[in-house]
Amino acid sequence: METIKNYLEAMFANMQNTPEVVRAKEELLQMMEDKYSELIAEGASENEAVGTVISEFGNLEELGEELGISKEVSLERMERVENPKRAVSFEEAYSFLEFQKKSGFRVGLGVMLCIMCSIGPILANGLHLPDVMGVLSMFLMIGAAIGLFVREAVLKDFWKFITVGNCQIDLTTAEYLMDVKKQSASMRATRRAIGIVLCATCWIPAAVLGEISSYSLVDSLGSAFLFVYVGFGVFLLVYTAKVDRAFEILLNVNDKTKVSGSYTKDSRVEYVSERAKMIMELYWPAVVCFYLVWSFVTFQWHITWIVWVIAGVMFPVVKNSLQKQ
Amino acid sequence: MVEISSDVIRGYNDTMILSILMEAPSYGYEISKSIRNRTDGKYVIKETTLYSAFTRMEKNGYIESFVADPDPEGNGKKRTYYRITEAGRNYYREKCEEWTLTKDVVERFMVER
Repeated sequence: METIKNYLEAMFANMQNTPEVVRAKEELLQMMEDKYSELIAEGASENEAVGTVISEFGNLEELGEELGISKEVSLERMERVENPKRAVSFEEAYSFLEFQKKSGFRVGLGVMLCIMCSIGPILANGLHLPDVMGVLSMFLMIGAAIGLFVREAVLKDFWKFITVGNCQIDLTTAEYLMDVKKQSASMRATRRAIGIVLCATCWIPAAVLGEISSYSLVDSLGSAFLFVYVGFGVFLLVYTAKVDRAFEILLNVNDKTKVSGSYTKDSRVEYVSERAKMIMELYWPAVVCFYLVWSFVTFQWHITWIVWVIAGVMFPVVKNSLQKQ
Repeated sequence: MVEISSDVIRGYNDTMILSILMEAPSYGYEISKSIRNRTDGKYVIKETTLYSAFTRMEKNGYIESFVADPDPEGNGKKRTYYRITEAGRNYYREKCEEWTLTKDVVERFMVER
């Protein structure tokens, strides 16, 4: 039955997504399903039944005339010849996801190295080592980062057909991708949350160490920790963003005005209820109000900023729990 | 093996469908099955042909569609049913007359030599 459904979807993939077309597709599917069930009930094998149903389906030109979309059908034919869509296979979509993960790792690491490169000079200063060592480590890290960026730029070229090209995914691939996206949603949210927390709390080691000692070494350790925190935080954020982007690119390659564009219509965020939607819409405005009111009432600006950290960490948690699964 | 030329039969798909609907309202697969059974499997109508005929005849007012459950107890999945209209009956009679004439004319040339 899956085969029949996919066959029909593939036939309709590039048709305009109009009510007439959708109805035609549904009616045809119903007839094919009925025929298939009866063949199976009569003792035909799965393959025989699918073969018979598909061979007796007919052709879409015939439908085109009746649905008043023959112009679209022929336009689509022409477009397919002049500007063919590249079909992205299941394997390619999977490899692209894997590539984006590695690419997220590379770019994230590169950015992290750039952020952390000042640690060398800071520590050299604290340990009273010759400046040249600090500077050397700084350039080594920047060099490594540039190496990673260049490698990324070269490797990225291979996937141009997906990122900028005119391509299309089929129903099976779209369903697989949405499934993986759903399964990895909480993982990605957690990574992003940890990234935000690290960035938001980067000043804590420096503050704590500054309180307990005034040695210059301890002081520079505190500053070094700041860069380590921000570095790791940004790494996680970049990595997650790259993976998210992979889903976004793949799930949006299909033309939204065509039938195939409706495969991934569920990839839009949907909430469990109207109230949940309202909560999510009011979340950030409410946080701003709370922050301003609290700050102006108490004038404890050095404490109130914590609102942003808590709100940032809570946001993915709240969003995930209110989202339709 | 001789096969039916789709060009020739095209003009009579509508008539066959209307003839089946004269007996009782029916839905896509049931109609296609009736056509196959009545012709002893000599003619199998394609799904696209059948659906085109439905939309065309509905537009012309020969048939009307409605949604119903084929299972009398109402436990089945709903199907789009079609029923014939008065205009459809008239059209059917015209087509029958046209066919008698066509058959008469063509047959005069179909002599075994």
